[in-house]
Amino acid sequence: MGATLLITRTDLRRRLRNRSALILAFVAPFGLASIMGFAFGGRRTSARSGALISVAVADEDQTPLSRSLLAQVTSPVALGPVVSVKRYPTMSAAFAAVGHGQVVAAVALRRGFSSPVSGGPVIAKVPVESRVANGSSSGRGLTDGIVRGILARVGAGAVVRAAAGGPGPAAGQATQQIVAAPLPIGIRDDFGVGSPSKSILGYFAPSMVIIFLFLLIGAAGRSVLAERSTGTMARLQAAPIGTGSVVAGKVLSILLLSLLSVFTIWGATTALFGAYWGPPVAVMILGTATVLSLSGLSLFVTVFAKSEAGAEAATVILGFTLALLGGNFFPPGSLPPLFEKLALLTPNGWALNGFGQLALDARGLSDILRPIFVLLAIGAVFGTAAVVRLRQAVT
Amino acid sequence: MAVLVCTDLHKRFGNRTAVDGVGFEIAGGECYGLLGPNGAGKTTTISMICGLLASDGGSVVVAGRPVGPRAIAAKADVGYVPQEVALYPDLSARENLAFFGRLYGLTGKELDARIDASLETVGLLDRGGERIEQYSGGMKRRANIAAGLLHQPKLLVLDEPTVGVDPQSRNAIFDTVVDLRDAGLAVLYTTHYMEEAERLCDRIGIIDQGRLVAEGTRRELVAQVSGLDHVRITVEGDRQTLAARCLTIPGVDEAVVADGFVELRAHDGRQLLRQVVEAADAAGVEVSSIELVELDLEAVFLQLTGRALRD
Ligand SMILES: Nc1ncnc2c1ncn2[C@@H]1O[C@H](COP(=O)(O)OP(=O)(O)OP(=O)(O)O)[C@@H](O)[C@H]1O
Ligand SMILES: [Mg+2]
Repeated sequence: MGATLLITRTDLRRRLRNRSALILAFVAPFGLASIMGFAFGGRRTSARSGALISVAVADEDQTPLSRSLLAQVTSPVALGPVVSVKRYPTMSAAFAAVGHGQVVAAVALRRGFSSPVSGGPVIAKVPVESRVANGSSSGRGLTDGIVRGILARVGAGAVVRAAAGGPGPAAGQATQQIVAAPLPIGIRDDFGVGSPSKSILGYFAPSMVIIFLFLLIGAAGRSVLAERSTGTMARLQAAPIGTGSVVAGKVLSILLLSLLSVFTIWGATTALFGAYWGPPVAVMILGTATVLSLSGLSLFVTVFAKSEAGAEAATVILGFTLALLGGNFFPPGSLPPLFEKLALLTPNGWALNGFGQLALDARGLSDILRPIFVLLAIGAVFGTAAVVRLRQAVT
Repeated sequence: MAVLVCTDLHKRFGNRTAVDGVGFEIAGGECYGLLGPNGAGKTTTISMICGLLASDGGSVVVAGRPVGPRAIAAKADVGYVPQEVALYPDLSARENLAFFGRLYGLTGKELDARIDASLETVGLLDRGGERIEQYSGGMKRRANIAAGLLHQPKLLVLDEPTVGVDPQSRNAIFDTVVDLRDAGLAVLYTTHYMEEAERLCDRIGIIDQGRLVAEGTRRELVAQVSGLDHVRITVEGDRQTLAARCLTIPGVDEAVVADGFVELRAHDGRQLLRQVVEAADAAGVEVSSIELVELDLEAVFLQLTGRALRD
């Protein structure tokens, strides 16, 4: 154990003196995250219409209840910071906006929507209608969220009405109040999200770290392999310590440097720009899982390459392919549906899925267990193979 | 008493036999030279002796304990100086030594004292704070040796420690090795420079294609192969005629004409000197010197293997 930590400490010290490692770990991701964060964030804060995706709503009912209900379910708090809401006077105008590609989805309340909700007669057969742009999964998700928000409130209203002893003017009024109020039932109103731009930065910062992490880990892995020809590996093995300690020390230093990269950028973007990455514990766990999966894959590619040059090429090519597929270069929700599926074939895609949920959708740890699990599984499979191979390679 | 005893070492890589039955002993206070051309199997032999490489056969015992990749404790008695400058270029010499010293269990004041002593030994005490990458080639080599000395091993193994080193640093390295040997270390020194082996080593093993083809002191090795003395006559004038005349002297087997001199291969060269002077007079050439050339290890290697030590 002592030898392992000694090797870890010495390697870490060397990496932190190495300019290219510093650039990959800190300077580059921080710089790019800032630039992208400002680019998107700036647009977002100046006007809601600058949001990344837009959704249309139409209120044909035009009652106090329908108005306050719609305001509740389409508030920035309910929809998240990347969505802007466009209001149309009629359902057909809202649906036309979908057809013209101006919005990804539309939700309309028909005239008479609130009548049965507040205990009156049924006027409209289908009181809520929606339309989603062809193939837009973000549109589908948004519509789903809005409609569920409506249903939850209407459902809550029904409960209140039943509790008040069936229909009647008193029950109707109570229902109206309940339905129009921000309810903690079935929807999430308890976000800690700051301004939308800060959440966007909280998404782009980890996204940029991930791209460079892959390269950083590859470079660190290559430097371990290079120790075979520089003789230091032989010197380590001539020392009275086990090969296991040597490999463990080397791998641990790579993991620590990667964690340092992720959490330094987290701290820096939070402290300097007020970025919101998500609840701290969730960010720490997701960040660690991300590091483990990327380390596993990057080391795997490095140690199984035929030569050092081959390892470098493989790392760069795979790194950028994964970054493209995983969506690191794109704003969230802007990928075509096929690519959203492809993204989930990559570890970085899963990581971004998790970070996106935390920063943009104001989710918590319990919502991102799936990405965390997938990342850990990827890390375990590739990491184990890489370590076994590394052990062979250094003896 | 022998510090290192290695017996019948074998190592194959695929179907290439790198080491094929090498065995020798080194006593404390003795410097043993392993002399052989590129690819002879020196580094492979050393790797097995230092426990870096599992042997395919044979044994290594250092200070009474068997050494191998898994015999971790016994490695503490061996100081290894790799063929390459095996130090981290981005750390200072002191940082490197502190790291490797700690791997051998040195700590605190003892570690500091050992670092100072090792740097002193190789003459780098005042430059220890500089990064290895800022060192000259010779300084790097010396620092490389210091890292092998740090933990006061009983056996010091140096793998071609003077490759690419200027004459001054080379002499400094020689002095260091001699001092260490005189201090009682057993030293294993590999080289493909026969001058180094001749100058430094008490005993020499000649290795070629994985086999130890001869072993002994320089004198013993030369005696092993030489029947003939070499007599070199430096002359002005007609060397061909001189050579022809010399060949008529009884006991002279061969006369080689070279640039500026004639060299005779003869039995008992010391007895020839008077007759050679007479032959020179008869040939009408002016002799400036006659010397008995001692056979060197180069010639020994040539005779034993049929090939030159250097390609
Ligand atoms: N890891 C290895 N895999 C395959 N072959 C090897 C390996 N190490 C050494 N060899 C081969 O074993 C033989 C002996 O190599 P070794 O390095 O021991 O020679 P050497 O005497 O140290 O040469 P040099 O003076 O060039 O350092 C060579 O033919 C070499 O190609
Ligand atoms: Mg060698």
